[in-house]
Amino acid sequence: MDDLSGHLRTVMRITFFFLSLCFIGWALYPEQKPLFGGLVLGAAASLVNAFHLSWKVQRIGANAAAKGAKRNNLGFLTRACIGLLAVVVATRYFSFSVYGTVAGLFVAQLATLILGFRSKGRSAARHSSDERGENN
Amino acid sequence: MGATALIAAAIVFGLGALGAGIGNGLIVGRTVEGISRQPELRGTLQTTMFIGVALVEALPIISLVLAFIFYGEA
Repeated sequence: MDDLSGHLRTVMRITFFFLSLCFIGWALYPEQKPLFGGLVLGAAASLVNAFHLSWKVQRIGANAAAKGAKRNNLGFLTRACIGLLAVVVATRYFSFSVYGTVAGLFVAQLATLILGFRSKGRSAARHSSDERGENN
Repeated sequence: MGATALIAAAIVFGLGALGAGIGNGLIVGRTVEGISRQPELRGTLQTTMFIGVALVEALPIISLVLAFIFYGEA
């Protein structure tokens, strides 16, 4: 039941690690401030998007398990507007790099992809060892 | 330049949204079907749905930002 929250916690940890790397880069290379600032802003927006998506997925799952007739949406427009807001804030108020912000918007998705492949690989390995009878 | 940039913005966001709509529909539909059949697998199916939707939605969000950049340059 708590697979999704554990997954989200790991995504949050990876994103915070990325943010700390960006801040270190910002401190060490001040001339690259627009790039690192954009990456920080994009990664923060990406983390908010991940939390919003997880909330929506849990609502849809609960509704499907209860066999309810209530209609749910995935809230894509909200997440798209959060991404757009990050780009507008980065360019208008902080003069950060647009390309850095757009790259930062990928961070949580990339972490999700890597974690997904890792968990699939682990479950496949467990399944094959179960078939060989190594766990008996 | 103006009309070309507007057409580019329309194409980039339109095709991105079309792909995301089809992908999200398939993912959510199959997940809801699976949860309805086997409610005890809800946690696993929700995690798989989260991964799938996150990957599918990355592209249209980026395409929306690119479309607004093109729109701003039009």
